[in-house]
Amino acid sequence: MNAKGLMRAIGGISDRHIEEFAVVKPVSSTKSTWLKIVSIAACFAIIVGIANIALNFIDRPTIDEAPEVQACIVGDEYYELIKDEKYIESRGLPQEITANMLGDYIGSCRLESDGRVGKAYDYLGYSGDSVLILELENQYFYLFFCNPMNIDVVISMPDLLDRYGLKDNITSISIDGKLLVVNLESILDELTKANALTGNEFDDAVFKGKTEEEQQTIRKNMKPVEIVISGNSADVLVIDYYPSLGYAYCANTYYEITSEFKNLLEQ
Amino acid sequence: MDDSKIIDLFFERSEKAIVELSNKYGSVCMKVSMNVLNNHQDAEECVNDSYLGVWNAIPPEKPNPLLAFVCRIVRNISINRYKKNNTKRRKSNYDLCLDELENYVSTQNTVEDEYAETELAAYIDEFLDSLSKTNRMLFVRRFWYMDSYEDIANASGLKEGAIRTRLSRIKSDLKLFLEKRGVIV
Repeated sequence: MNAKGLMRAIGGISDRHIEEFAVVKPVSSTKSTWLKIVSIAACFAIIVGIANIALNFIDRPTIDEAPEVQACIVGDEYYELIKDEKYIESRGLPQEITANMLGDYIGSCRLESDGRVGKAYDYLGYSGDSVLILELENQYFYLFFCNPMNIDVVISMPDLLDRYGLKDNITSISIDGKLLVVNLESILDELTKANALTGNEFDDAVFKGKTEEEQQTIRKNMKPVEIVISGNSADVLVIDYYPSLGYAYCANTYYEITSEFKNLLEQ
Repeated sequence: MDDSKIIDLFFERSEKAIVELSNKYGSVCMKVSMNVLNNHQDAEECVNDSYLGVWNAIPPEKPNPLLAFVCRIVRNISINRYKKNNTKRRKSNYDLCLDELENYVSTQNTVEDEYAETELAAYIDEFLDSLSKTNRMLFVRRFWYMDSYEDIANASGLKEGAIRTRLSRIKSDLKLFLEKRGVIV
């Protein structure tokens, strides 16, 4: 069986499945503006990347011709190769990558768009491993952590902070663009207590047992605000927070925020 | 207009049947064809050919649901048109879907495989029934309607990364599901 055969077989599935999803209804939350831009850019880039490869089936394009954002797999996690200068600047990173910025070898890195494989190294400038450096075709690129490949894998909040080099190293927290100056330690303490849920667990917790109308209302009210956490010599962590639900979202994991956290924010 | 009334018009051999069919399902048919061909003119021709196919099929056919019946014809005609087109034009969602599936199947194609495709479709139905509604939607929209990730994300509200991850898992589960039933893909 080849892919075309499998596609033909999929073409023969029952009418009820075809009709069931002729129109798609929203099933989950909206996105934060920045992440939405990056996400769409990533998807577009991946599609363009694949299309480029497809169009140049024999003459494979060089990495210079590749799109600005590409999905990559390191171990069992998704990273994004992002070449956009503004984005790199927003993460506090130097534009030029040199060999002396490379730390330990992490593992191989495969570009999802065309299967090219390079080497991923730790970025020495930051603690944590949310930013890696990819060595591919004698060039260096930044890789930014996205999420585990397995949707059933969640990242606890302490592990997420650790991933971004922010464990015991936070210098500022801002919510919806407002810098928090009081209760910083208490807020952080409450944030780390947040329970981590998979997407399915989140759906069950929020939508299960609700009518279609109630679900629509919940979705309509899901307006995310950004929690931005920074530290010394560390990456910037951006989490989507949904005040109407008391949940936050990052890296394919939903975080059930404690009521004390909400109280502290209101103060 | 109700599907049954549109079908009645086909039975009466009224040309209004095509107009009503196009009014009701024209956009979804164009979407399916565009996803395969990525060319507006070709897609339009395929959709029109599909209407002719429906005209020839009804009567005697009395399809229910009509939407799935029409979309299936559009999909098949569009894929056939795609095959006839220049093979260098590998740039549609159909290509991307094939690329994605290639990692999960062998490259060989045998006579038995052709025969097995009908049976395989029944197994895929069974597999789809075992999925959550969201995961089923992702699979059907990606591999039947051949929507882009961006389109699925915009329509569903799910994040594109989450869709990619879920589909990757679903494809692995499908392979396992089929292997347990003795189907080697």
